[in-house]
Amino acid sequence: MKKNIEEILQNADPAVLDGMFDTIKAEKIDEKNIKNKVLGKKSKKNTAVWRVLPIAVSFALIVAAGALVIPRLAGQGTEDPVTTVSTGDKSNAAAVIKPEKEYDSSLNALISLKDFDRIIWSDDTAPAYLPSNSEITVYNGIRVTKELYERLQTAKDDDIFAVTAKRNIDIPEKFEDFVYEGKTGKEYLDEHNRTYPIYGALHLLEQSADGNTTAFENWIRDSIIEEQGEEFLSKYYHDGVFNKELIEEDLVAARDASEYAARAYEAAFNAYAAASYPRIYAFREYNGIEIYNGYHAETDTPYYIMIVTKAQMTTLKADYDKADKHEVDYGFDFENGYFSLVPYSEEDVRYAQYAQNGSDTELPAIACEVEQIPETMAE
Amino acid sequence: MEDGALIKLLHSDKNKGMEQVLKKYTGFVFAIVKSRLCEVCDSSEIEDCVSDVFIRFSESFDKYDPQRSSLKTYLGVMAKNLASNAARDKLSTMPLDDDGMIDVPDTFSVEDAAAEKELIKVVIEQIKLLGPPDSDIIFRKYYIGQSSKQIAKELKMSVSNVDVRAHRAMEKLRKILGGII
Repeated sequence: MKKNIEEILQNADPAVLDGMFDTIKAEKIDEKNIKNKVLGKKSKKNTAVWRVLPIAVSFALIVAAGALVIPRLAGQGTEDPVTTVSTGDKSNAAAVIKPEKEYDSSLNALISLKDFDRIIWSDDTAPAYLPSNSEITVYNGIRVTKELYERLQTAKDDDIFAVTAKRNIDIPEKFEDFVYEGKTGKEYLDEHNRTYPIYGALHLLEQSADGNTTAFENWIRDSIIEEQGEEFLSKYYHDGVFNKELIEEDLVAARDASEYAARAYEAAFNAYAAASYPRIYAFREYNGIEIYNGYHAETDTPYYIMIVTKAQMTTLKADYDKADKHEVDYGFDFENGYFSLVPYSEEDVRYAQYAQNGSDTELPAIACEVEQIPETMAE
Repeated sequence: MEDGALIKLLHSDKNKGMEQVLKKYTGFVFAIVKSRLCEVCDSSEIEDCVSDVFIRFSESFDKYDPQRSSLKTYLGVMAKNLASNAARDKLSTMPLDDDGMIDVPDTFSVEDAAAEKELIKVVIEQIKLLGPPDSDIIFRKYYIGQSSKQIAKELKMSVSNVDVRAHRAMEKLRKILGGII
């Protein structure tokens, strides 16, 4: 009898295949769509909001201008649902976007540009918020990367660019190095990473002690020993008996400690986010420039992305000079900073396009870029 | 995050655990599903299938036994099976590659589940014994369903080299398995 090897292997059990997948390389993909489908919207909202609040607040500041500008970028003021804020009253955009809740789904209007495909991105693959390797030059009085300069030279007035503005300020590139109230971001993160597993281990022990798991299985015991050590386990489990009272007592303390660490981390991260944003939103009133919140998940770095026409780029300096003096503190530092193009592949940008085409219109782009935090801590 | 910690997290906080599973394995599962479906499904169908793998896993992770296989293998098998089902749904018949045929004695009955399990085990053991890159080529070609072109790209070989090695490896397997079974 002839049998196809594919047919034979069809029902292979994972146990006999162990190791065979080791050379299969993961493909780089945007996992957000899949994540949304698997986890659903509800959990994402709950967990994301916890960390995204400050971003949402600052975002709200720019929404007013954004809502007014979108039709201009889209080239027409039609009543397209994706480019219209919730009430449809563009003349009263500020009132419309004033968030009554923690965040507003009308924020999505900002990322629903009809002209998305027209946007000019950087060819560079490095994240745009990092110091540019490209030479810095001057275009109409503003400092820009050479790449942006060259693209502006050949562009038409209505060509649209995705740019970010950088400041040469004394803020570390990475949150890990940022010092907040005497501790580095890494220390806050480490504390968060240290306390949460203890809470997790005690939670598992509590479940096991209550008989909520089928048994105190080997792998649970092994993983607790691996992470917390035998001494830790022996405090709560000895000679086959759980010390339920101590588990419950320590569980409460561990939960409090992990919540405290999570909130401290949140505060430090917010301080970092506030300090590291290039404050280009000051331009909104003078240029009608669309601005997105960018967020680079890998390096935990927030930044802004401006969607701006060549014509707008050309008048930036003049408009900035017209700004009130008190706005200077919130504006971009033309003398020391510079503008650069944003690479299309950046996570936030790819999500923005998904939000434009996809069905998940309720989920703010900024939310899904944020690393998830356990709901127990978010409450 | 290590698999043990992942599973622990899944039990204590399913949502958070799934987030970590997705973070760690989406690219891997995608690679397997895409290998199987790229010629018959569009990107959104591939994405749906990848999502189905994780949804299925989230509904049944209690059945996963870390003592028996790694989580990667477990998800890999699940991905391959669901992708095969999706491919079958698309095509009324899956074409069988003659080059992948091996002789199984008439005395072997596929109805005999235990015997089938043993046969699978023996075949896989023999594939593993081929050693790299041949074991990898056979596994990818006949289990994952990758094309010679895909295999060549991932193993950094020429397509013709992949085909020749696959052919020779199959000859070797036929010889070994024919003797054993």
